[in-house]
Amino acid sequence: MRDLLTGTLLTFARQARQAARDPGPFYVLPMLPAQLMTVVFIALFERIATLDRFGDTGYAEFLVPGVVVLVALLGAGATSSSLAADLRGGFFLRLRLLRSPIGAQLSGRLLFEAVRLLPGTAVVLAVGLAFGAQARNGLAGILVVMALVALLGVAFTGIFYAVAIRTRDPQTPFTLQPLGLPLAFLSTALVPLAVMPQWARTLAQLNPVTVVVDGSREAMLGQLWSAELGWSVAVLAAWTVLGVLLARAALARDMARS
Amino acid sequence: MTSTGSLVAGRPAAVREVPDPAIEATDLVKRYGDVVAVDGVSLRVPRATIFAYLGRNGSGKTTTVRMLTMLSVPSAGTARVAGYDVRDAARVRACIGVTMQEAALDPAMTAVEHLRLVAGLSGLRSRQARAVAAELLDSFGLAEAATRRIGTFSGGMQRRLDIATALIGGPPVLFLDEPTTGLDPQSRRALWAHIRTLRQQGTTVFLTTQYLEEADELADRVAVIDQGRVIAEDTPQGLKARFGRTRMVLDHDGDLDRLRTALPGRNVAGGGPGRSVVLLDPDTASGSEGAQVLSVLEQVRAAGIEIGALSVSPPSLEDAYLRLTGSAITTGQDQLADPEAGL
Repeated sequence: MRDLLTGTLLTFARQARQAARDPGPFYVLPMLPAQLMTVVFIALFERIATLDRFGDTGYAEFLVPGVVVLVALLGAGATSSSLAADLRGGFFLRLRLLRSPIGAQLSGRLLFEAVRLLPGTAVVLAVGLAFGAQARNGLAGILVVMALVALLGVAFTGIFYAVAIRTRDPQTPFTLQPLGLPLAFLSTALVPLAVMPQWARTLAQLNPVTVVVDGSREAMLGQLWSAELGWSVAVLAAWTVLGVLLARAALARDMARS
Repeated sequence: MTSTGSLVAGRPAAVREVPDPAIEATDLVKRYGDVVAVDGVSLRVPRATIFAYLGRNGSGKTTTVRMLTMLSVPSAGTARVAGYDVRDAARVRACIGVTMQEAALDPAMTAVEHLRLVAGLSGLRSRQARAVAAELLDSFGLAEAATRRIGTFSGGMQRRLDIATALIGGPPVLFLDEPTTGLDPQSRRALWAHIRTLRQQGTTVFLTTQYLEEADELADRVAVIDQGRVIAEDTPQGLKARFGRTRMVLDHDGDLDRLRTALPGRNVAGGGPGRSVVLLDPDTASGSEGAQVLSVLEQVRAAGIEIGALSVSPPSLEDAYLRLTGSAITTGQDQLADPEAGL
């Protein structure tokens, strides 16, 4: 256990150093789509809130706790690039020969995925608040939302690792980036279920991102500790386990082939 | 590279001693589908020796190393390294250092970051990892490049760093898969000195190579692998004695056909314009080598062929390898002519 923990921290530190040298893909890119949508959507679609079916909140209040999950959906998986590079360049063979469990290569990167999304999330929330969003639970609500985004990033990154291990392609984060678009648009991140066409509503109800957005929205606008938040954490935990299992299976297959 | 007194950086006392033999493989087989990469290899590598595993590309050298280092699961057979079954990965890992054919490095890291990371992942504490990294950088002449990114290193520097990495934790058993491939002659000789030092300090070195000179210079024992099978194993001297032949190189005025006619029953090959190579018979029934040399000279003189220059070379590992495998190793650096090709 100690070896796993040490390996996780060392891998985290290695990723952090890499990100410090090349901050763009790790810190700046994840927040750009959400940032752009926050400003543009509030400006263009503010009147959507006047629809009868929309509810009582203003669009900025509604949008920001939802759009912020795009930081994770469109920015996750950057650390899969170094995983693929390690496999392709042979460094992973060296890592397999060391005392530290090879799982630390995944857990250290996942931990960094969570941490690196926090600055972008904070910026999107800050801009959203400046554009009229509300944080009715104050800083506590904001911190809960940030934690949910970080956990969503971790959950979503599993599939990036599985593909990166399979393909050994350092471009994996960019190749898989479009995956986040349907997950974002076919959820309640941007509009409520009530104003969606039936087919989209059905898909959004099946989309785990909807559960996370509901938890986020509740944390900022409703009760801080709500059933929605509990469901969000449960869904994210299950999603993370599934992602890690996929990545471990890809890794086991890769190692068995050698 | 600079020479140092200790290259066993960070070696814990508990792993200093390994049983003899340090490496033992029995009937190792590796199949990839229908392809048999390694076909029943058995080896015994005595402790604190250098064991050269000699063969051309694709002969099964790397596959054997991968099985002995648990990077690949044998299809059949058993192996013990440092006294532990190779399936006991954690224990074996604590006792081995490995360099693969390609340097296993992250080009984005600096050399010192790389060594500290590997030291940390090997279980050394932070302070110890820093000390080991500094010692190894110094030992391998990389101290001045410590904070440079590995991606900016020359091939030779990367190879040195890779080997330095394999020494972290002072492993008593070291696997070096073609460690000098791509090195210039000076770096190669410096690395040989390091490997000899390691042996003196008690490290067992399993070295794959396609350089005959390297096996001859370094190894206490040599195994020749061809098409996945070990076809001979002995000391370099033993292999040369058993399979090599003494060569006579003659500069003469006659053509090759005249010389062959003058030396019926002898192996004679062309060695360039006006030069021929005569391989002496290792069978002592044909007379001692000295007697054979005199006999050849008398037969040549009797045929009226004038000899301008004469040299006699003892059996080489190259000869032995050629006789064992029937063809030369072609590496680009040690491209060997087959003296028997024209026979």
